[in-house]
Amino acid sequence: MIRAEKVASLLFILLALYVGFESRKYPLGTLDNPGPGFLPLLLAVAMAVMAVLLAVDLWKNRTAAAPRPFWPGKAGLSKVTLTYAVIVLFTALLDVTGYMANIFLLFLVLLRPIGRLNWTWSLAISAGATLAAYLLFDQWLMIPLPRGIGFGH
Amino acid sequence: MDTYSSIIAGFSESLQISRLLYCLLGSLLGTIVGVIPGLGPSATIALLLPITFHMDTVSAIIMLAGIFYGAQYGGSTTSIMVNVPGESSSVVTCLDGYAMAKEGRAGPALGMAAFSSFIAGTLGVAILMVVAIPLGEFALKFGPPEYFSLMLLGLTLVCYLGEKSFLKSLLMVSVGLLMGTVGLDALSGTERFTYGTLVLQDGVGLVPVFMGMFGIAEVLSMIEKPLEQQIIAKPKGLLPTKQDWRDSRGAIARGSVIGFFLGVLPGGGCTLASIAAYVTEKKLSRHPEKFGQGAIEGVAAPEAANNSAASGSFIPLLTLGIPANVVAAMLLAALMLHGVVPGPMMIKERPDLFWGVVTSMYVGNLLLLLLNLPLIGLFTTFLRTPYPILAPIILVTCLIGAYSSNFSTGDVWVMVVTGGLGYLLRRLEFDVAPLVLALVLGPQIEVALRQSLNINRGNLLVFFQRPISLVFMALVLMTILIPLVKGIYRSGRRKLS
Repeated sequence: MIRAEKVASLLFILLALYVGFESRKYPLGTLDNPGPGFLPLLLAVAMAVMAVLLAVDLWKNRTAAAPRPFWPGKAGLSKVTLTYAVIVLFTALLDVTGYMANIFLLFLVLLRPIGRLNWTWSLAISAGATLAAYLLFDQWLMIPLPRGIGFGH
Repeated sequence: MDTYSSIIAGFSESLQISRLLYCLLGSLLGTIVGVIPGLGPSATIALLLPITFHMDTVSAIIMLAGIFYGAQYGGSTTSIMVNVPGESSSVVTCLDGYAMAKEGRAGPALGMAAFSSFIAGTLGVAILMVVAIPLGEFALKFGPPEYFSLMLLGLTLVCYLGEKSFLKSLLMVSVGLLMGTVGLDALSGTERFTYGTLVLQDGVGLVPVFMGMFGIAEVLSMIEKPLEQQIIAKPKGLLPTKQDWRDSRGAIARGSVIGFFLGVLPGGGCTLASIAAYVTEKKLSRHPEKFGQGAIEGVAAPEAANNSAASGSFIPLLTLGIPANVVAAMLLAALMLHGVVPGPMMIKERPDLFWGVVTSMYVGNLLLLLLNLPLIGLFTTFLRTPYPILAPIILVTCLIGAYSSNFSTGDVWVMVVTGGLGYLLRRLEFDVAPLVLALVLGPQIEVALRQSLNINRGNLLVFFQRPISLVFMALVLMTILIPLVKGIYRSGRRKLS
């Protein structure tokens, strides 16, 4: 875990440097009339100082390392990766395949490979959930959700 | 209008049939999410924010507030029945509540949790009614320097009183404030950090960030754990005995007062309140050895405190427009999304909203008591909901909710990215509450800071020259210096040994 925390502290230093660099694009103004670049620069400096302090603490082992490992066990990690991949896929395909197909797929993946439900139950619950989502979001709340290419809104 | 007439007018708002139904819905939903470990009021409010766009403001806030205090009721059920806190504010209830359940006294423990929650919640609302107007009038004296230093105090206190590393929490504040600078600058109209994208022009959307940080990150944390099925017995005999009442009355009174004041404190919140009340009770008890072995005071005190704290946290939100904790930050966002700016003027400009919400809390607490006792059996069945069913429901609500906040996939991407980030931050033991609070307060802090400097010709000492601001800044410095001095002292001792 301590290694992951060290990497995180370095990433925060990099982020601070990047923000500091980017904030030059916006007028800094003066103390009596601060511009839009004033706060970002101030925050970049503050973030850099805090991230350096955290890094020093971690390298000197002053901060007690979090007790658990950074990554969950192999089984947990594969479940998290698969779930996140489905979420990304859902978002990427939302305008193309539409919300109903995506909801069906999302339920199916979470119920079958992750939840280890049998195929019959997984398919039945996924279909039921898709219908419920259609009735709730589309028919009742009338949210104009994308129905997929060729189906319009 | 005097306070008495305002309260009557407030009840005429909150007792309308539709408002009563929203109050009931919010309280019940709150109780259910309070019962389910992992799913809390923050995630639920985030999920429901887009739905409230279709509702009138008073009903929306009544429902969302109901979720907040309803969750405090529900959290205790899981603590008592399965020794797992449904909410972080019910952690200490596990100690004596579960011990009582093992002795076959789950019923009185659940009953006392519900009664003490009701008494403290109602008492908290009563104090809120008395304190709100004078505090609102006092806040009218605030100018930009006072607001800036008060908001800064809120953010540093959240880090100081939080459960995670102070330094890490401060880093989270800086990230949140930075995210708040994205979009059009409120004073000059300059576009910042948008990289030509349309979705970032109005700033990083609060709803997608809430849903990502609490909804998506919560599901990912939930899913990594192995599947477990809890076996839960049905509780019997919910009414506490006369002896139980005698043992608990002092604990309820003290818990209510401690909880209220820690709820008002920025960064205090329900968890800290429940722990403080439990520790106080144990210290004051003639039989401290009974604590942890099934002492009913150990259930009454924290449950009173967390409900009272929920009421207390509405004070800074409704009178100053400053949220004391992350759930209050979400309520602030909900108000802003409905075009309401909470603050000292809100009581005068929107008395229907202020008094309607406050009086609905009386009604909600009563509804919760009336429903909680007979429905405890039903609530415990929610404990059996397996997460493979719960997780896709939460995910779909998040994904559709984020889309419907602006009808664009851009907001869904913001949620997906912040969800992944939120999960990684949780794994790294970073607290995301300061980040979310800073994101909500960010634009106001920036405006207050720049206006203060502008009005006072660049004088940085202005924050220390005005008496109210000076008090806030002194407290800010204290909250930053105390952990620093402690750290230096600890490292000095380590070197010596």
